[in-house]
Amino acid sequence: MPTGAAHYPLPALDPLTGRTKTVRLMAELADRILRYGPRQRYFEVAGDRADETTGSPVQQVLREPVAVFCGIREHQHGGTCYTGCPSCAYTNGGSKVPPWPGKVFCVYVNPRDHLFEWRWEPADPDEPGVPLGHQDRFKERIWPRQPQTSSAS
Amino acid sequence: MAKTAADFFRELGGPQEPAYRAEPWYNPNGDSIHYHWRPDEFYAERIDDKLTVYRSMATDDAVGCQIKGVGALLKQLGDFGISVDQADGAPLAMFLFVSQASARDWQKDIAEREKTYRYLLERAGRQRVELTMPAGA
Repeated sequence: MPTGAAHYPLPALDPLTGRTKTVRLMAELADRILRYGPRQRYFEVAGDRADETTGSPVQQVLREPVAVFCGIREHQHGGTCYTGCPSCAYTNGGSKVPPWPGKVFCVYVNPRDHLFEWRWEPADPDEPGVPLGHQDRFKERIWPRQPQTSSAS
Repeated sequence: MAKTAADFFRELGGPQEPAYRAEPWYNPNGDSIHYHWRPDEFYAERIDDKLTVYRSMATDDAVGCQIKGVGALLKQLGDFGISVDQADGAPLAMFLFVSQASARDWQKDIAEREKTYRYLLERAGRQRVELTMPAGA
């Protein structure tokens, strides 16, 4: 693998504080994306030349998710899934196209805040911006934060 | 430090041609195996907590798959005395068998899930994947 930075920092909403944190795209994964593709995966992180810092679906959903879920996998305690509706999608040829109808964009982050997967998934028809079956797939929705219920009587 | 994500990819040497290899690969950040045998624009359909199928946006055909929780699957195989030569690669069939046997949280009915696993075994089962497991996995 070529030498260079070990990771690329991506600003992301911290669902626990509402502030911004850094999610890392590791060079090892980026290298595999370049080698194995499909090219769509590259454009979904990198965006296009006219809008390289704000335009990619991954960057949009990490910064402004509709929802963040925790408990994404039995063996990845602490991993999170950011879901949302980015303004665009990409073809394998790099063309920026409207978001795929009926789909939602999901970005998966491991417990060490390393990006590890991003993709379109069928959307919940009753709740735009979250994936179908989210009720059974994830342990808990941690963003938006639920208001604390008072136990005082 | 790369200024943009595109710069970061460029420093790694890409994007290049060909930008697609129809081979399974292990993702250590996600502890999962990814395999796209067709380079279509795709979406993901979750089958259960161990398997996701990638489908063509244009045709809904299965064009790839993701096998999740590889470390745990290897441990389950090890419990039965089955070891995997990580450098030489392991057939995807091994992971598909054990994931079908141990998966939970099914999104599909049992017949459709069975059909999906059978299709993947025929389509991808003989493919081998090299594993570079993170320390402690």
